[in-house]
Amino acid sequence: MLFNSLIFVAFAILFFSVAKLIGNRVKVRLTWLTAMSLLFYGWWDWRFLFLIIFSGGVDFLAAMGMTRWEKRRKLFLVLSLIANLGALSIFKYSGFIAHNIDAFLKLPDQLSLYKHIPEFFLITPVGISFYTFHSMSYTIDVYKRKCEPTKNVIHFFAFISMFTQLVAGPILRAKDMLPQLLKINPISKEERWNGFRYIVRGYFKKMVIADNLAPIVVAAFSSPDIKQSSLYWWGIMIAFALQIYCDFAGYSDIARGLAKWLGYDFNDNFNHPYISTSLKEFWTRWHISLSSWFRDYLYIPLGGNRKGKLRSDMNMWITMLLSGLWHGAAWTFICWGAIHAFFLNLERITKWPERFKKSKILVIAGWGFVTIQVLVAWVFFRSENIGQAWNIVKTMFSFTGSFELGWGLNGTVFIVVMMVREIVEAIGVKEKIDWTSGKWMWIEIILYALLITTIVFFRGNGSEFIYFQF
Amino acid sequence: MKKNFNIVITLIIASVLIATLSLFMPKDKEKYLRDQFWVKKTFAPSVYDVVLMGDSRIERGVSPEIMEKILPGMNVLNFGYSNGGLNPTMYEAAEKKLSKTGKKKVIILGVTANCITPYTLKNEQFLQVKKLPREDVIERMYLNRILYQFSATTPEGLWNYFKNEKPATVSINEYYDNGYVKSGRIPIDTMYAIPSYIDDYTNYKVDEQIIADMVSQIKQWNEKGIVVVGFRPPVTVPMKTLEDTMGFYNEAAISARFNEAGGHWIHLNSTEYKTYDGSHLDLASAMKLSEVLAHQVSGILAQPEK
Repeated sequence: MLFNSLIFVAFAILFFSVAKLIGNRVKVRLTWLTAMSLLFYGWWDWRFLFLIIFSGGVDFLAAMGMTRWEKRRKLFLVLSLIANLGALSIFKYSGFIAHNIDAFLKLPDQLSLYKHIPEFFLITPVGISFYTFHSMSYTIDVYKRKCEPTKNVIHFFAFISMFTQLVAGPILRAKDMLPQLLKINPISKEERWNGFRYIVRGYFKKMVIADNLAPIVVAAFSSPDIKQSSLYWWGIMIAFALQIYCDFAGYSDIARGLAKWLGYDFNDNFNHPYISTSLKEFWTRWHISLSSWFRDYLYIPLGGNRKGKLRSDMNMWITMLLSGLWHGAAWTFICWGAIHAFFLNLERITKWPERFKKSKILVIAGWGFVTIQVLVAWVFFRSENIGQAWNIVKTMFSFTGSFELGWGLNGTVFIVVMMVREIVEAIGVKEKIDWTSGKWMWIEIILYALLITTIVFFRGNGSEFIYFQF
Repeated sequence: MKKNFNIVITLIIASVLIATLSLFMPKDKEKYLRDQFWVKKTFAPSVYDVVLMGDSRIERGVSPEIMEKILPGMNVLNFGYSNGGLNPTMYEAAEKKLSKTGKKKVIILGVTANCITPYTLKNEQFLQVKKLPREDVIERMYLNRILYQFSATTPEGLWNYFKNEKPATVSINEYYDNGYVKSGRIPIDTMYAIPSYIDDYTNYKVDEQIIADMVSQIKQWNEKGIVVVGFRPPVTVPMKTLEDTMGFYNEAAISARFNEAGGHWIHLNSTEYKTYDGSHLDLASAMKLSEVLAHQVSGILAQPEK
């Protein structure tokens, strides 16, 4: 079920109305939340409900096992990791692995591994990477004694399957969410209004900005010939950068707003990533829940930066390459991760971001440099294959061709709107205003009414959220 | 003001703005009706006695309403798609539209050259609709007649709307629930479609395997008691020549194999029909073709079983 559909509006009205009737009865509320979340997921393809139930079931039992048989804690952790990563490998990576083995061994059609994979396993279940990571964080945290295991299976499944962030994050931590789920927090008027603002902003980002930029990007990338214009491809990559940001951040905003209406609090998943003046900073602002997941559950356990420079760099490369692979089973995503790893490594070696902090001009130059790195990396992320990505990057740096950005009037309007918004946020204008005072409160209300109106009349062609496929 | 009224006030202001603006904003009613049309066709129930298959020449060239008048008691569905192919995916989908309880079942194939080239194997339009998320299907099926009042636009669309420029050509499309599109073009240009077909037949030719699959399907349908009728939708002489020469369409050979497999091929005289773009029949010709087909089907059904 897509957030940007009328069916979801009906679903949400039903869900919140009944939740209101349930009131303070925690168990009933958790049951309602779990049942509706499974309906929400099953609406896409009920066959894959078994995967959530299997993945969650294994982790629930593994955590119980850890407390019951203290000496075998590691065994239960390993079982949980095998089950989760196994399911992820089968449904997300089996096609990719088989393809590459076929190509490497030059296997004929009759022996092709790919062609022998049952079709069912070639369907990537929506949001599989997200809920697998949710679930894994639980067993790892229980193993590390950072989180008390729950004995209530409904409580656990309410955490795993909560519809607000089930299919595209943010990736929640059991230690943060499980305690929240057990409380019925009275929702203050401020929080209700805040939730509303998040939801409206999220829909605006997704339906107005991302969905209107999508056709421009799709047209550029689906054309059989790479347009030979440097400026054109820089323009297209700016459009894509904003499209993917608004698509994903829009989803996160809606998820966060809905959670607020339930009395739960998620951390920010995006914090204006494109104003970053170093790549390291970019990763503290982009998909924060994923980057912190990789940091806490992969980079640090690998040794982080505690075991010398070389080992630290190696750990960072492993983390970035796996982060790329997490996004999709293709070499383009691995290249995307590798480009980020390369430039992060360059930052570590040269320490240029610290040196550039000395002057405002250098800070701006640093911002430009980081933006170029991010845009080039996005080329690989968006391309159908490495060949296409490489040709586009070559064209971008050829500095030849026609003088056009490829945006048209539509693209220009939406890109400018989004850029202005980011600049306003970067300057911190909003924070300087007391939105609770009479005049500003009315201005804010009118602003949000205008945003809703814009969503209605300037919504793009409804499409799935990009991150659903991850 | 208390914060708990903020949401209500915002929604009231937004509703007033939306209602007011909807009076002035451009409305793309055709897009909404078109989207609804494709969903209704693709997800049509299994209640039909006669199902027409093929590409846009069928979709725009045969009216089930006219056919039903000549075939009383029979429900007819036009299951034609733009660039629709005749291939196993479409055969299966079309067969599912036939009534389970109907005594007489008929599938009519509009065998254009385009339908039996590898290009239409993609079944692009059909699959695009078939794969729509369920919520989109529901929205398009039941709400599009309301939603068009709040048609989405773009800055460019708004600009063009207020500039009020009249387009040089006008396409007429009227969508029917039975899968037929009453269509036309002003001004009529019988050479309009030729260049795009030259492109198509430069890259794609009539495919032997696709014809073999069709023959095999006719046999299977015959075994199930489904009557299969085929014909070449009429077009202009230049278009027909183009398809025969560049697309390698051989009507004599195809019709012979069609009949051998147990189907009933209807030979039509193209010169008796007129098109508005060289490819699609004008309204009068579409009505005439619908009548001719219905009479032929009626005659075939009246014959003793083979």
